[in-house]
Amino acid sequence: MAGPAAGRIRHPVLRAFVRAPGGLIGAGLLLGLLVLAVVGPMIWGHPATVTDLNVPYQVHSPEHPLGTDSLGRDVLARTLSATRLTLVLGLSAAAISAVVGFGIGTAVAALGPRARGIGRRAIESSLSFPPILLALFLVAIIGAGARGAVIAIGLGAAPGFARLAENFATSVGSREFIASAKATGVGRVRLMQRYLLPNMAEPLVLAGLAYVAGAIIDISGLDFLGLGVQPPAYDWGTLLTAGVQSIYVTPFAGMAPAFMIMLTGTSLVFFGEALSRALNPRLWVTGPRRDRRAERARAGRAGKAGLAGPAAARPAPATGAADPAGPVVADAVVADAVVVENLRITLPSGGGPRALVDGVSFRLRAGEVLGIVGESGSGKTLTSLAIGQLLPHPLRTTATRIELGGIELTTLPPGRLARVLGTGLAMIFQDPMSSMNPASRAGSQLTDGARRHRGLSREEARAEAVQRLGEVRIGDARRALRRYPHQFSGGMQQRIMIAMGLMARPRVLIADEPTTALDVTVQAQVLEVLRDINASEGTAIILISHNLGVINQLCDRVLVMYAGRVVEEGDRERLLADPQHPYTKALLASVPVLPGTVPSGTSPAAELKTIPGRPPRPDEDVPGCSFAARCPLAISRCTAERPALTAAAAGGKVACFVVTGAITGEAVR
Amino acid sequence: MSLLELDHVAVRYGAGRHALTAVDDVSLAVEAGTSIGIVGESGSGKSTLARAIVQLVPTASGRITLDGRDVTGARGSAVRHIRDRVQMVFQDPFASLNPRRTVGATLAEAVGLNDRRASGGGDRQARVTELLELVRLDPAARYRYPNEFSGGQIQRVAIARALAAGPRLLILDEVTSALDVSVQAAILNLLRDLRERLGLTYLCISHDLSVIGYLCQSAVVMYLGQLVEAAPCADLFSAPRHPYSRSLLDSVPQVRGERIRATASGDVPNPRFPPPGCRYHPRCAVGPLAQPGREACLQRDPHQDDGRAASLNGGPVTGPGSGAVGGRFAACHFPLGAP
Repeated sequence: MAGPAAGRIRHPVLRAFVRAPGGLIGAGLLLGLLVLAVVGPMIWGHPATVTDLNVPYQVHSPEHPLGTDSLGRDVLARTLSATRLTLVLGLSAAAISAVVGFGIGTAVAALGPRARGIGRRAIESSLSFPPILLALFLVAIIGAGARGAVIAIGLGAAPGFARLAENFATSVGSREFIASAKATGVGRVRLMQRYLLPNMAEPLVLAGLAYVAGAIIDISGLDFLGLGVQPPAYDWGTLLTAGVQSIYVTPFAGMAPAFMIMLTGTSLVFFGEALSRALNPRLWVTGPRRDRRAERARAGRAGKAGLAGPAAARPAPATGAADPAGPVVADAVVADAVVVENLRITLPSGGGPRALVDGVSFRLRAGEVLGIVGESGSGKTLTSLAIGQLLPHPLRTTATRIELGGIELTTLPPGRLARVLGTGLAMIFQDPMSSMNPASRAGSQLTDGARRHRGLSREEARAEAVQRLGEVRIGDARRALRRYPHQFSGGMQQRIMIAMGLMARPRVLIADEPTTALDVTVQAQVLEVLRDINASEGTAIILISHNLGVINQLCDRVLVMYAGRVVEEGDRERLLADPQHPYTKALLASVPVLPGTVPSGTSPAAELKTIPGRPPRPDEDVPGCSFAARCPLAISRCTAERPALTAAAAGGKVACFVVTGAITGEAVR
Repeated sequence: MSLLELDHVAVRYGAGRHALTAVDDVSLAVEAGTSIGIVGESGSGKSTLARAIVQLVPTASGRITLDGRDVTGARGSAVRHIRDRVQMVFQDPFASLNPRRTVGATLAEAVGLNDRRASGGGDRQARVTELLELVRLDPAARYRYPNEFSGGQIQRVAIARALAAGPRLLILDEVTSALDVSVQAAILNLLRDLRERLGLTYLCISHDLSVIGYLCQSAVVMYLGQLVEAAPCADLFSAPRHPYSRSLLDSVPQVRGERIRATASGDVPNPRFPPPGCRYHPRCAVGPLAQPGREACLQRDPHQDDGRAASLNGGPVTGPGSGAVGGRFAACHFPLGAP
């Protein structure tokens, strides 16, 4: 519709607004109504009050095109001059309900789980009163009249808005980018301002504007009952009431205000729809031509500089970079980066709590890369969330120790905990898009944490963000800062997430399936970035993955988890070449290998090894080894007693009676 | 005669400035009894190509011949011709099965749709039992609902449903991507076994090269909607000719052996605006940005080179199973390993 015009508009918000269907129509109608509201009473205010008892109930005449009312007053003049009062009343009532309702709703959503439940019930029970009844009740208290009607209608409709806002806030709040914002230590108020509200804005703006017409109707209802606008003042509601009573005599007297109310409603809905689209950066169209030109320019630059790019421009990394597996941190005594001891995560249920993770203990040394490998349900992700104190509500954690950089986290007061986690730990998740706030630019998301935790100025934080983006190999970082998350490809988003995590210079980075959603070539790039930052900054990394190949690329040491427990632990090379636990063996044998790429050994034609049966569910009480039912080596002791993680002859630790028992390596096949 | 022949097939989404050519001039022949893999990253058009074969998306140009009959833009009886011969299995079986119906009801429905003569309830139930046994599930599984199954089991149900129609060609679209590795192994073994027992032909789509290597005899590599290399798997994996294939292979993180290094730079470009010349040139490790004197890559699309295009499209990939070991091709001005 507005295609050619839209092409010339530079500002993305305006352009999106103009492109939205009905945006220009809505804006035009609304502008007309506002002008009418300003000038209407000036022009028609006097004619509207002139009574002429000679011509009551006239249908149509040259002097009175829409007829007259019972006192012979001109219907057209009255309708037009009533615009101001009606719009003022409607807008104020809608504003009251939106502000009160959204405020209550968002506040309830931000409460703790129990208080939120109570708040939600309160909102729901107030919803069970029809708004008009609530308004009648309130008018009785405040008193009849325009002011009373506005407040009463406004408050009467507020519960509806509160519920809407609470629903949206809860659904937005459950998305991953909120969890990662919490992990970087963003406070509650800021979380609401910067993360929740912008992502709820779209439907809420629309709901608020759509209600203006509803409020005008509701006020008409009160007018009809004689509780609204009191004569001699008049709005469309009073005109409508009078007109409806004489609808068979002077039809226009009722139709004129009805038409105006309809027009207002339509224009507001059109306008609101376009506005909410315009506020959503995902719908902004950036011209493809500009993109292509930039791409060509980049290609040209890359051509001149060879393929070196930012990687070569980086200062030479610290000692130890040549050998990523070697010792990276030179300090003599460094506390372990993470210590977890006896971690147990339970889900409360009818038949007592079920353990999803049980008895997990491990240490992450400074500068080390630890892999946690396991299949779905093994508890690897829950374990990492427990370190970040990010487990969702019904789950309960108990642990002897959870330490981050030598600080015990379980006993820390919430305020300090947020700071310790915000500066000491960064987490990245599988889906980078859902971990970023879609409504704000990469720049502000990158700098938020640094400005908050380290008190950097805007410029300092931006300079650092540019440097970090260079480290994760984002070319043209200054331009990247101004873009929104959806404007990046998946691989770039994930690298930006890593850069975001690095802004606080954390000692520990937890990466939960960071490359699972990426293509293999991009996965290789992200793995290299992780390897680089481990080598140059000495950041300790916990890499969680189901993919043994990915684990092999990065890790110094590996934990294998099965059904919520660690079954084997050891150096990467040894563990992958000579696995000890029957589960680790079976897991490795079930991975198909690329034919022709492995020099010797497995032929691709051979059948893949499979593991019979399935892992025990958390509600099944397995007294012995949880793998026993599927294990080809199980002996009677395995089903009766639970094996502990003990040192194995081949190195590392294994939780298996058969391997650590008297039976030799040869017998274990 | 090949079971399936694609002749210069193109698929376009949208029109005008927003047009996106998802599949661009792809020719391919699949012999009965062989398995061909389609490899590529997101946006390469591999899933679109599969959907075009079963007419889930319309083709913009080119011809698709199935079992000797032109099924391009199929209507009426031609749709049935396709459905009787080709079935598809998708990545997410939970999404593709009705959660409100028992597995038995879903399978019986598929059986009934295929064979109206088997109208007797007993016949259908016998066939359902047969199908469940074929995918190594307990026949009692028919009384259960999808949510009562694990991911691997429900993928077996989806395979059984596809087999209900008695197809000759099974299109497997990332069937194991959502599964754990140990479960994936069982499904891959099952698929190999079914192929032998039922004489099936597979067209496997996967981003995981090792899955393709395990299931297929030959493979084609797609990049931004175009076929860039086609070869028997053994040749492709040991000595790829196209730099993109090389980079894909180098990027696969192996459980044993050397650590990988990122060889392709940058991300896959927006398919709406493919780079001029060879579409891979901005990322190519041996292309014009890395080696001087390779301006040809910037100017000419290797697919449009007359000589090569003729040999390429004239001699489509054939599986080694058919006896005729097909020629390999690589759409590259400077193929790897060339003299």
